[in-house]
Formats: sequence, structure tokens, C-alpha cells
Amino acid sequence: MSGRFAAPEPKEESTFEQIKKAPIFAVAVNATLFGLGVLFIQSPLMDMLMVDSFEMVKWDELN
Amino acid sequence: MSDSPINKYQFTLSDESKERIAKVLDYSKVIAHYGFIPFVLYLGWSSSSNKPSLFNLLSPFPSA
Amino acid sequence: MSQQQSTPVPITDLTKFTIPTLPGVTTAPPKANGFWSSNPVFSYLNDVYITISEHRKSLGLTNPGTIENLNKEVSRDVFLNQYFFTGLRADLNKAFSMSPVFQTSHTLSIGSNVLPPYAFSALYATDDYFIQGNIDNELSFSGRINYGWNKYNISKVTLQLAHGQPSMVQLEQDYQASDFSINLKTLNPSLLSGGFSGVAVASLLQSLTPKFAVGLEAMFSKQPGPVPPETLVSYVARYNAGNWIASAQIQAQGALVASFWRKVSDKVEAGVETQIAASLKPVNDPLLGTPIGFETAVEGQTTIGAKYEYRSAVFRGQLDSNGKVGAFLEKRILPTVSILFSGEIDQFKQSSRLGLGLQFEAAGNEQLMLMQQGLIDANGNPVPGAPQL
Repeated sequence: MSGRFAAPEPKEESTFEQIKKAPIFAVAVNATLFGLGVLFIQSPLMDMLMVDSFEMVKWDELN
Repeated sequence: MSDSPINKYQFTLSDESKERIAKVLDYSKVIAHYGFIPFVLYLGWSSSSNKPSLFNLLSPFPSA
Repeated sequence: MSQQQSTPVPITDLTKFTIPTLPGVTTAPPKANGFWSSNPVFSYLNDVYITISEHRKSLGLTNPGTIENLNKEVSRDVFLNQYFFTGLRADLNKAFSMSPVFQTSHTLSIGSNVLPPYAFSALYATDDYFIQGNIDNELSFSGRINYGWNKYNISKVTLQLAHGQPSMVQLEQDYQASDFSINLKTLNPSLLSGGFSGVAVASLLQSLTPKFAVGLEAMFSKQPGPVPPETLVSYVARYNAGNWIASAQIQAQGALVASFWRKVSDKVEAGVETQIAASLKPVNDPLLGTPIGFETAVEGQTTIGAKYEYRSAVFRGQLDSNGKVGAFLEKRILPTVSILFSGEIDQFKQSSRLGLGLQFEAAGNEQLMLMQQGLIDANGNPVPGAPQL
């Protein structure tokens, strides 16, 4: 407890910033992003992003 | 070389032969550095049907 | 039977001894072909080996690929890593022969930190071996030889030599069996400085089920002199379900790479990769500025990307958690000319990088030239629909 008075923080950090600095935060964020990425790629949304049947073929035929 | 317990298990060579090996390695490096690509070109040249000239081998332009 | 049992048989002549042949009652007799199978101990080991290998065959395992290619589908096929360049470049490739493959290539580049202004390379490949050399305007040389002894064993040698820089030699041996792969490699090995110095890496990837494989890689590195050697172990796993692949790699020192790939259709592939690395960062006293200890710093990056293949174009795009958006487009505009475009915008740093390139395919003889222009096929027959010669 005494350390808190002896060496005060240079500036008060908000709770969010403190969480952001914790090592587990980067792990959690990236794990979540990875999970979302897998879900996105596996989801029908990815199938809808197959544009090869439409636009690009036309572009190819122009040449 | 001393036969201290550490050196006992090591691969020991006389300084002379070490120097000789280093020299051989240096020469082989130079040979690889400047001989490798000519060697690849020779392999390719000897296996291709029309035996392109050196100029054709080195020029980037179509040579038919 | 009874007669044979009554006649005493010299104990040394085992072959004349009648052995009851009821299955399961006794161990099988030693097989009578050669020392290795007639000796009971080796015969037993042989049988164990055969049983194990038969059991392995019955699992229907396939070769899991190599650890080097663990997440190849994502990091090398879908993502831009291998393809991205900046500045202007021109590649002039010239093919002289198709089997064996023999081609040369001249690369010119301006405005790139990585590519040299000029580089020449030559490649020769047959069914068994592959040999390639590359040299740039500063005479930096790199060469590669791969030799396949049979379908399981490949030896590889890689050389890098440049003036005023330490040279690099890498020797590598790949063994790919029916359900596992072993890779041994060593970088700049030397025994001259008393004991081994250099880097040695051994890895094993083993299929456990037809789809799932696990493996580990151990690295040993020793600098010449009285420096303690370093070791690094990593563990990997890969699940290949045909149209999707998941892989993970954990380094004992605190790094994790996870990747996921899916083949969405014949022409579209998508992938996501996360890299998390922990490192020890020195912590300084806020007032005195002196180091007071260490804290774990964790850095992570997640990248998602897709690759679209069209009849005459390939597009790759990706987005990462550090705010970078990148794209790479390769488009064939003539049968022998392609354009390359690569671009990246860093949204957080407000910066961007651009690359533009042209690729020309030339031929060293007439037949290849006609082939490149799509007029004849590989056997020299006219392509249907192509303009008449």
C-alpha cells in the first residue's frame, strides 16, 4: 500500500487503458478475431462473395 | 592440444589442417559463386533441342 | 507324429523339430528365409513391425505434408506475403525447353527496398532434380539444388554468397513416408571451431487419423566460441478436412500461430491467420529510468484474406488487425504479357505502398513461342479455334 504513495502514477489511467495493457487483452482480441474470421469464412456470406460467375467473367470477355 | 576434459570430446584438428580446410572452403565458395549459373546454363543448353547461342541464352528477348 | 516324438532330435537342429501348428497354441515358427527372419528375436521384431505397419495401413493414413508447409495454403497461397512488392518492376522470362524445364529470367526493378535493380536467374529442372541460380547487379548469388532420390527422399542444398557478407549454406533432407514426414536441416554447419556450430533443426509430422496430424520441431543453435547453445521446440497440429484446413503452431518460448483455410469454390480460397507472440520487455522505473524488472509484452496480429482466380487474372486481398489493407492483382493482358499491381494502405499510420510490374514471357525457340501465344499445345498440335498459322 505504501508504494502507491511513494511512487504515484505519472497519469491516471482509465480502466479501459489498464485492460488494454494487460497481456491477456491482446490474446483475447486476437482469439476473438480469429474465431470471427473462421465463422465468416465458413458462413454463407463467404459463398456470396464468389463473384466469379458475374462481374469478372464479363471483364475477361472484354479483353 | 591439451587433453582437458572439455577438449576430450571435441573434434580437434591441428591449426595447419584447419587453415587448409578454410582455404579449400574459400575456393569452393568462389567456384560456386561464379560457376553455378554458367553450370545451370550449360545443363540447359546441352538439353535443349536447338542449342541456343550464348547471346540467345543471355538476351531476354525472344530468339526464334 | 508319435514316431517323430519318440525319436530324440538333437536340440541344436531346430528345423527338424516338429512344432505343433495349432494356431494360437504356440508362437509362430521362425520363417526360414535368411538370418534376419530365421533368428527368433528378429523374427519377433519383424512380426511386430509388420503388425504395426499393417495396423497403420488399415488406418488409411496419408502423408501429412511437411511442417514447413503447415500453413502454406493460407500464408503462401492466399496472403500477399510472397507476392507483395513496391516500386516498378519488369520480369523478362525466357523459356528454352519444357521437358526438362529450362528457363532464364531477367528482373529489373526501381524503387524497392527489397528487390535489387537487376537480377538474372537460370532454372533447370528434370523429374529427379531441380537446380536454380540467381545473381544480382551487386554479384550477390543464391543457388538451390533439390535432388529427389526416390519418391520419399529429397535432399536440398541452398547457398547464399555475397561480397562482404557472411555466406550461408543450408543442407536439408526430407523424408516423406506413407503417414509421416521427417525433415532434417542444418544451416552453416561447422566442426572447425571445436564441436558443432551452426543451426540444426529436426522435425517430425505424424498423421494420427486420415485428417489429423501432429508434429514437433526442435531447433538447436550454437554460435562459435564460448556461447551457450540455444534450443527451441515447437509443437504443431494440422487438421485437413479436404475443403478446409486448420493448423496451429506453438513455440515453447511463447508464440502461437493459428490458421484456417477454406476452399470456397474452384476459384476462390479464403484464409485467416492469427499470430500471438509473448516477449519479455524491460520495465524502467518511471522516475529514475533505470530497469527495475521485466514484464511480459504480448503482441498479436490477425489477418484475413481471400484469393480469386479468374481465367486470365488472379486477385488477392487481405485485411489485418493492425489496420493494413492490401491487394495484389495479376492480370494477363496478352498471351505473353501480364501486369502486376500490388498496393497496401496502412489505415492507422496513414501510409501506403504501391507496386506496379510487367511480366513478359519470351521463348528461345519457335515451337515454344507458338505455344506461349496459345497457337499450339504442348504436343505441337494446333489449338482448335486459334488463328491459322
